[in-house]
Amino acid sequence: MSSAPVLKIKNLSTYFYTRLGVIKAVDRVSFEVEPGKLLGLVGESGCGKSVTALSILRLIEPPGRILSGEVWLNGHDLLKIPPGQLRQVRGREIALVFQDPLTSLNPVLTIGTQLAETIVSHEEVSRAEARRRAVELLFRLGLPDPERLMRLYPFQLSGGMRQRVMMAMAISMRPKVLIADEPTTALDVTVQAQILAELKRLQEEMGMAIILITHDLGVVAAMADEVAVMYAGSIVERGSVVQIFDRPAHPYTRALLRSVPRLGKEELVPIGGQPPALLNLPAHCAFLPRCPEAHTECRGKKPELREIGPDHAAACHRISRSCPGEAGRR
Amino acid sequence: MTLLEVRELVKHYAGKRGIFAGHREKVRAVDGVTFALARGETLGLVGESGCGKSTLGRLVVRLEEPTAGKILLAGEEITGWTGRKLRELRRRFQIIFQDSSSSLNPRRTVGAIIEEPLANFGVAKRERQERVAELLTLVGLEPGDAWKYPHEFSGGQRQRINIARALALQPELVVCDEPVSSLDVSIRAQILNLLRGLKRRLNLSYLFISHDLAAVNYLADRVAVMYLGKIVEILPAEGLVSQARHPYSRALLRAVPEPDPRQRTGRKPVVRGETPDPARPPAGCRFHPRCPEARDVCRQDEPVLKEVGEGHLLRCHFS
Repeated sequence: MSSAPVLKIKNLSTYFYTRLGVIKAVDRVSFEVEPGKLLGLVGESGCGKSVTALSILRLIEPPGRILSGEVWLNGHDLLKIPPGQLRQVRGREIALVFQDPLTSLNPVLTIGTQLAETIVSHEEVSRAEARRRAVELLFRLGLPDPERLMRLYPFQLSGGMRQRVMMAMAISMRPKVLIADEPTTALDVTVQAQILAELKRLQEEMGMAIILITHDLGVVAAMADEVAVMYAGSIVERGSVVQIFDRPAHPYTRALLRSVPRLGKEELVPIGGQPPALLNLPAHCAFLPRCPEAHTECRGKKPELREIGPDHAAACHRISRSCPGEAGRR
Repeated sequence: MTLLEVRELVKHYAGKRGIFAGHREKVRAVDGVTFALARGETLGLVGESGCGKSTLGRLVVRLEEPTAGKILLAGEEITGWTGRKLRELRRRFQIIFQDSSSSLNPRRTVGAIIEEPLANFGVAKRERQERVAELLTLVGLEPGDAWKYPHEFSGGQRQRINIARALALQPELVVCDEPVSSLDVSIRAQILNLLRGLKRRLNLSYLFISHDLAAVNYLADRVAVMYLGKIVEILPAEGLVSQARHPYSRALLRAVPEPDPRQRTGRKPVVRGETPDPARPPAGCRFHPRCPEARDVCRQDEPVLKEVGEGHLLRCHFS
């Protein structure tokens, strides 16, 4: 049923070597995305989800370093190909949209110039054709009066409009994979709803694979096909969206779902304690200090992510104990 | 018993000079807001950015002067209070902001920060220290934390410190302006539950301002929905999902993604576009350019806020 993944990440590790010590921002992360599917990468601030995105595109700068791993896209390992080839791949085959669109747009060029530039530099089309395509994209992203918008500068746009312009820019190159890092976090919910609906439609129409990075479980539930939950630099649970929301297995995922306010929900059960500092992470499970189900065995070595059911994996010692039948399959 | 009453409150700012136009525009941040808040009640104030909810919160605690309108505390008008009387008001009204770090002085110990309002109101040194220990315990920190500095705490703990300071003078009303928005998801519930527990224990009243409908719904007794400087609907919180009738309230409710993948079928966005510039609000009903149900009358006449049910006020020609 499932098709071959378009992007495959294996054992990716990115550390930051600071004066205070080593920060293991991404620690042996593996996942894959199929064409036309949306993977929700969820976690709280500092869990390593943005660093994962930057590592995939090899955009890590010192003191950060990609230690190991493979990023397979179209038969190439992006971590191994020469820089010249990497530049070709970025944008055309894999694109990234950041949370803050103001810093990603050139302040002295009009929206139209920047969009057309992007299209012309990646495809053999005339400038007029590029502009026509840009207008069409802006229109499809629900931007009012796109013709006028083309003549404006980034500072004249609201946050929601800039975010959609960035999205248009990324999509204009028809990448196979789009990574969107908190694309709607700073926006109003009514604007968010429009952008998410548009993103979903484009994904279906173009068969694009999307990695949507967010801390918002509501957004994930509304958008994702597959979900990966990150905690302290590692994926602690992975599965289909229904598995994650209906049968969450990892204690962190379960606790997170209980702690989110929902309309009409009576009681919130908070997660105790604080998110971990990534500096000098313990050798055991990073969630241990906050885990309501912690046991002596959890003080041992850090649990590996392993299959616990069809299309469902979790990194927890307790799960292998409580459902040995499922956990023993690997 | 009514604690706070706000009548036709207005706040206009002189806006920036337009980029193309030469004249100064008036930004109508709050444009005729009326509501009442009972003692021990939590009124949730929801709306999107630029709707004027934060300005309203700052007006209520007299951090800003209203352009017009009245604020009454237990029936007495406080809008004109100055000097000693305004100082007294500072004891009775407190505000907690979104950014838990920038509201704490990094060079002072947590004890000194919480003690300051007590010292300002002439509480003796020994008593102050006892109160600080008490307050820290009240918000779930340790009395020993008084000797630490703000940077030694996480965002959630810093918000607890802000809450402790706000409660130091035993206020009657606490305005909470997006108190959990900058916190991590796993920490938000801790602070929401803390605020709820404190309200019950101390019989506090809250004006709880947030863009997060679910958080507001969790804490509030009544919810007021704001759009472009005006309240478009007020209703009891338990009826928010089923009873809200204003097209904007309904659009907001539908736009909030529920953490349940089974609910996503057919949840298409109902409104398009963005909130217009509050310097140039549309004529007639302010929501009409985005309203799926707008008719001619909506473009011309501005609807008034009228009662449509028990504790339910609505500003709409239809619905």
